[in-house]
Amino acid sequence: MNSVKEIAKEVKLISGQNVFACYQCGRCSSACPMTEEMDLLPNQIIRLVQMSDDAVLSSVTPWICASCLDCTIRCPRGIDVAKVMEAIRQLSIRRGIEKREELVRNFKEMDELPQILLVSAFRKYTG
Amino acid sequence: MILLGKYRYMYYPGCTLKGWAKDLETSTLKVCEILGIDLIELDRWYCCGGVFELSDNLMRHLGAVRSLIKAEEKSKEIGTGDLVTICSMCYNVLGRISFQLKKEDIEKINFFMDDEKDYSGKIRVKHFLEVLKEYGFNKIRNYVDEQMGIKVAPYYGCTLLRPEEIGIDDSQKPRIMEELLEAIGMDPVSFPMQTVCCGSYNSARGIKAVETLRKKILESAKREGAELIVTSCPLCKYNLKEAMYFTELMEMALGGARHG
Ligand code: SF4
Ligand code: SF4
Repeated sequence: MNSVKEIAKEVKLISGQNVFACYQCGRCSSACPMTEEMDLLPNQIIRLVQMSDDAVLSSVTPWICASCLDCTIRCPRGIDVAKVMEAIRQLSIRRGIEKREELVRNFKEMDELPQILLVSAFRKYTG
Repeated sequence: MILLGKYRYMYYPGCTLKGWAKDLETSTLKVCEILGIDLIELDRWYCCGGVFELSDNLMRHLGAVRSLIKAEEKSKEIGTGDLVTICSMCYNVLGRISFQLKKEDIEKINFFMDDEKDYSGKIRVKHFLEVLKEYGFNKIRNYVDEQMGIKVAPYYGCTLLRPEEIGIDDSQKPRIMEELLEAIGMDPVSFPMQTVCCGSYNSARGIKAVETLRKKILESAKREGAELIVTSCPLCKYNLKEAMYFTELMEMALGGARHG
């Protein structure tokens, strides 16, 4: 298993994104519609990935990210922030640090929900 | 041999239009019948996966590629490479596969998928709104009997517009739904939050997870005087609670009786 120090490298390998290009302007976070539910803002996540800080793996933020790409189209440094969020989710799963159970515990009756909701939640919460 | 008209397209419904969002399919097919647009459903199709896989896991694209392969087979019979989706999320996933997936990724998928023909990349994925635009909003105008003048706010959300390579219109200032609404006798109202995400699959954690966002979006529309919000996405409709499919409004506005 890789050491915690490798987070930046692993995120880069999974997402293809260079987080070191980020200069912390905060535009991603100001565009993000989900920040009220997050414990860390998208720009803070990027900063922590730069530092390979394992706090990104215990943050709920990557799991709240809706993959809406509003951050991605606004980043002046061309970073696909949504891709970084997904890479962190995958990394957490690969390392066995998951937030899934906590996230889906409120599942209602399945047949009341649009199929697309179940399919996309299943996909995002499993990596 | 099926007899087809000038406006003919292959049609990918996706799971939700056969289930939770039946109204979206029924109203679309009704609109097509009135306008003389042929949507031919693929003989076989698979779930698109709902959301595009962003990182390095190509396995997640198999379902969508399989549907595109089925479309390539069907396209020979129908004589068009245009594949139409109505659900915004299906549009996004299939669109991204067909426009964005790197050539070597497709090669890799083809290589490992033994039980299907190879995907050669000839399918053009289109959203139904683009089909209507191609058909001509001006032509649609002829089918409208009455200027209802309802103040309608079009809600785009994210998947019709982002990423920009597959967006059906400008990612921050789209107009396509406004133009359509105007053509069917409505009074379109653009609003600041019309391209903000509805929270998407976050509502799998319970509808409360998207409540704050829903309120903000609805208020943003109401502040501009909207009486009604329309969308093309079943998940947006579920999360916003107070939205209608744009095709349902079209069906109402086009009536159909006179042109039968
Ligand atoms: S928008 Fe880009 S550069 Fe600015 S803080 Fe976010 S990731 Fe960094
Ligand atoms: S993709 Fe995720 S992080 Fe980016 S704006 Fe959307 S919800 Fe926020």
